[in-house]
Order: sequence, then structure tokens, then C-alpha cells
Amino acid sequence: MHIEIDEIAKSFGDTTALQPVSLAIPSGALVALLGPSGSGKTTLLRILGGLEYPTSGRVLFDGADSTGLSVQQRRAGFVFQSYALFRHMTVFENIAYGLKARPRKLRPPRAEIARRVAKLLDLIQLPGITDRYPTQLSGGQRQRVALARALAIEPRMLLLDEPFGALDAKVRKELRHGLREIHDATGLTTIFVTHDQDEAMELADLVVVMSMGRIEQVGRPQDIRERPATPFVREFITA
Amino acid sequence: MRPFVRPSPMPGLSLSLGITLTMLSLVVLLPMAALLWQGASFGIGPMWDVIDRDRVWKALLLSFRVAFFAALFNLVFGVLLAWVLVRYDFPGRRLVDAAVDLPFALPTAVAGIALTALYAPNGLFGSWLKPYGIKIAYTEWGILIALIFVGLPFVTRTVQPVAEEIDREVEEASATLGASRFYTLCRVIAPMLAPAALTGFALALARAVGEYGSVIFIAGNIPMKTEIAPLLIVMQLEEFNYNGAAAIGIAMLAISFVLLLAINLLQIWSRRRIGHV
Repeated sequence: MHIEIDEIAKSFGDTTALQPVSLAIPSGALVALLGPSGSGKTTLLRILGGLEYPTSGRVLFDGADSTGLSVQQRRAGFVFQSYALFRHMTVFENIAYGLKARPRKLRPPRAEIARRVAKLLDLIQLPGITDRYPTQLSGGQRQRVALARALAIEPRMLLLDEPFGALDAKVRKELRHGLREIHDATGLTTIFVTHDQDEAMELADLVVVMSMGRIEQVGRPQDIRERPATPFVREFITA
Repeated sequence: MRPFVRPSPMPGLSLSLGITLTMLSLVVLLPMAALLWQGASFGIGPMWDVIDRDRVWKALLLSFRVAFFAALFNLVFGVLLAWVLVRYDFPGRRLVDAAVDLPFALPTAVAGIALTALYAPNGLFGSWLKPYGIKIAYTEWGILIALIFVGLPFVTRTVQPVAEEIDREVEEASATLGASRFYTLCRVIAPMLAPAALTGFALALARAVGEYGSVIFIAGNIPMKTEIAPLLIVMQLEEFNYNGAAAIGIAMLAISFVLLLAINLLQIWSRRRIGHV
């Protein structure tokens, strides 16, 4: 899905989280929102997911103004930094949640839900953990279950908030790879937030460097590396 | 053979266990044993004769029935109150929060008298309800209100810390997966609050079953109608019929034990569901 961000601004009371920013994300891209903490990257992601409403500006999905769409209507697969798995549910129930939560008319039959969950578990390469509870999983496994849960609703886009933030270096590398593969397999427009420039550069097709609620530069990783647009970008990239 | 106390890296088990058991024995188990002793020396047959009277059965039924409904009411509104206090910020929130504990602090007799004054047919609410033929004080409804009052803090205070622990992101995750607010409430929030809410329910129920001070003022104490079991016990004592008092006491103890055991099992089951914490 093509996403267009048109002069989106957000403030919480007196503090400005986002200056008016504009950005066009081509359909099927894998995009990194890169910046230090407080740069507004998570706020922008949450606005796209419908978890936050912008103070001004518009969001367009495939050209249609979607600013007022509720979270539920957006069908954005969202992976939280804490993963936010339902700890009183098994892995199966977690992944099936979005399908079971649909109104009766749109809800797939039980067997179809089971089939889809099995398929997603294959996709994240964790078959056979259906009956486990989140607390019985390792950090990396939890992250992948959260990803599968987000994919189960057949989202129109995939949004990830610091998806590798809580993992150790080795698992992080593996999962980067996993995300790339899942992105390529599903073809979903995917946006992830990170403060780690290596992660952004290695994984993304398009990197959006942010600072102080502004977009500093948008470009392919090598463009940003070779031609930093502002002193901030140069400093942040080489840091 | 496995030793009774297994070695643990945390020292002090035997000491703390010793202190705990001694205190528990002195404060809880000994009085109960004395009660059972009194009953045993009286004999099962005579004891049953005391209990198996219409007036006693009616009183026991009334006590447990009204206590159950009061605890049920407190379960629903206690959870709601806890949720509102945790999730919303409004002027006077701290005041309301502090007021929740008042039923603990107030002598129950004071509460009973105050409620009676309000709900008696010539009282503030009572006179207002009278034209509609609704009578609160001196009926079961009066008992219900008194028991709701004394039991309210239990559910709220047990649920509050658990509600505070619930991560906002879990609710947001549910919404991004397309779940309505109501679905989230039923499938995500309620199961997480359930074990604490059940604990509160059990406490409120136990408190309500044994409540005496506030009820006797508002109940009117009409035999066979609004006479609670604890009052019958006191009446037996006033007639120096200690055996009779012990018999009814043991009956209440037995029923309470079965009820609390059932609630505990329910709790274990619900805790296992959110378990693996």
C-alpha cells in the first residue's frame, strides 16, 4: 500500500513531538525511521497506526484520506517494542486473536483459523510452539510471535516500533534477516522505528532520518551514507 | 527421605515459618479449636437439634444469601471503581481513593445507624421512596445495603494494584488487531483482573457473612424474616446457652469453609489461565 504523509504535526500540550512533516512511502517498501530518542519517530509510527491522532495534517493510504480512520479500521499490523503479547493466552490464541475478534460475519471458520496460524508459525520458523505461553518463550521467539500475530489480520501495512530493541546482538542479526524475508514474502509496505543506524542501513530500502520532530533526510542507505544532507545526519551516521 | 524443609539459598525459612505458625495458632487456630471443642463436648446429636430449627435455617440462609449478593455487587462495582481510580484522572480522584477505605475505619455500628437513619421510612431516602411502596430499612434490602457498605473496599483494594500493572500497549495491541473496546475488555482485561477480583470477592463475602454491628441496626431483626445468623449466636449467648451458640457458630464455619474453598479452587483455575507469570 502506498502511504502518503501530508504535513502531519503533533503536539502533546505544550511540547511539540512532530513539526509538520511530509513523506511519501512507495508501496511495498521497507522503510526505517531512524533517529535519536525524542526525534518523533515513534509518534509518527503511532499516527500511521491510528494509535495517535495528529494535531494537523493528513494521512493518505493509496490516495484516500485516512486521517480519521480508527485503529481497528486501519488494519495496520503493529509490533510493539514490548511485544505486548497476551500473556494469559497461548501462542496459538495470541496469533488467532485478530481473526477471532472479527465480527461474526467476517470471522473465518475454526479450521481456517487453525490453518492460517499454522502457516504463520511456519513463516516465522517456529512450528510446534502453539501451546506455549509467552512467558515460556525466549525474547527472540516472542518478537516473532508478535510479528505473526500482526500478520494474521492480513494487514495493509506492517509497523514495527524498535522491533529489535530488547534483544541481544546475535538474535538481533538473525531477526533482521527474518524481517527482510517476511517482508519479501508478503510484499507488505513495512515501516520500522530504530535508533540504530546499522540496523537501518542494513535492512531498509529507504531510510528516513529524523531529529527534533523533523525529517532531516530521506534516501536510500548508500545515498545517506555518501551524501548526508545536514550536519546532523553526518554526525548521526558516523557516530 | 526428603527433608521436610528443603535447603534454600534464601535463609530464615525455619525461623519465619516458626513465627508465622505460632502467630496463626494463637490468633486463628486456637479460637477455632475452642469453638469446635465446645461443640464436641456438646455432642453431634444435640448440636444438630439446635441447628435443625426453622428459625436457624432461615437465619443461616438469609446470612449467606444476602452476603453472596452483597459480595457480587461489590465484585462488579469494586472492579469498576478500581478501574476508574487507576485509569482516569479527575478532580477529587485522591479524595475518592481515600474514601474507599472509610468502611474499614468507621465503627460498623455507626455505619448501621447512619444507613438506618437514611433509609428508615422517615429518613432522607426512605421518605422519598415510601410513596412508591419501596421499603429499605427493616427488610432484606437494608441488610444488603449494609453488607455492600462494609465489603466495598475489599474488591477495589485487591484489584487496584493489578489494574495498575496492566500495560497500555496490551490494550493498544488488541485494538490494532481489530478488536472492539468491548472485546478487549472481555478477552484481555477481564482475564487479567479475574484472580484479584476473585480474592476481593472472597474477602468481601467472608466479611459480609460475619458482619454483625451494622446489620442489626438496619435489619429490624424480625425472626424468620430479617434475623441474621450472627444475631442468633449473640442471642444464645445472652441466654447463657454456650452450646447453642457454638452449634450455630460451627454451622457458619462449615458453610464458610466450603464456600471459601470453592472460591479458592476457582481462583487457582483462573490464575493458571493467566499463569506462567
